[in-house]
Amino acid sequence: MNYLNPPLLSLALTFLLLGCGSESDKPPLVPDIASISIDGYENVTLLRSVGHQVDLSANVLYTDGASSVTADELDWESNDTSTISVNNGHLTANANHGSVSI
Amino acid sequence: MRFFSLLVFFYVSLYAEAAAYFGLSIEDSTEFFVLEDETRDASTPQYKVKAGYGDIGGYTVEASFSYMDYATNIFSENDGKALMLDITLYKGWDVGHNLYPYVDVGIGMGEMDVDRELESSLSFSSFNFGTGLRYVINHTYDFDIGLNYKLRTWQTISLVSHKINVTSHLVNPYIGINFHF
Repeated sequence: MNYLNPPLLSLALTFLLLGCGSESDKPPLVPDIASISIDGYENVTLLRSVGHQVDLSANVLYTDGASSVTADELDWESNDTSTISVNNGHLTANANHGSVSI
Repeated sequence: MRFFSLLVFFYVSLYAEAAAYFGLSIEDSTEFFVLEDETRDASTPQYKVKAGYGDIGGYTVEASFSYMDYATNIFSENDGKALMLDITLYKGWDVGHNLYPYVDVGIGMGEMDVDRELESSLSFSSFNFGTGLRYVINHTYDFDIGLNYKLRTWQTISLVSHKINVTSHLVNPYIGINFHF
């Protein structure tokens, strides 16, 4: 009589169990945005007088671990364009003093 | 002129022995999602309410409303319910013994709940075709069994720096019953 080899049997069972993993155990097929951080904001202190310029960019981290850096794909907005205006992450000082939210 | 002639032909065919009906069907939907070079499949039951008009031995037009509850994680960890509206044109044949095989073609649209950062729902449209068989039980009821394929195009998904397009292929074996009046 032939008997199954125990190590081979356990290996086969391991593969079988691994193969039984549900599709729902996997992360989503379509990655989502995990976080967005702004790079370059430390340079905003360089906006000391009218005409000075600084560039900001957004670092987008995705749920699958990938990331990308972008500026022109975001909508940038300044709450006081007479102090600092912003266009595609490009900040321009329009006054010598003031405080704005970007 | 040719288009007008086709419309007249279709109109006459549709009303040859026309009757209205509504029905219910249950579908075992297997959907294959494709994103670039990666695929994922999801199996979800689908429930359909339908209303149609025409001659089941000729042409029939049907509108149907379907419900699916995606227990999947295709677009998010919590993919939710989907509602669909389909318009389908059937061409059937009376082959005797109360049997009416048919082919069908149609279009559909719908929306699915997702739990994503930028989207709470995703819309989609589909092109459908299929085949099936109706068995007329009596003047009032017929039993319906068939197989339907849908090529579904999903709303473009924004990931800020780029966009993603997802398509899916549905294969739906189904059974149903229709009430004629």
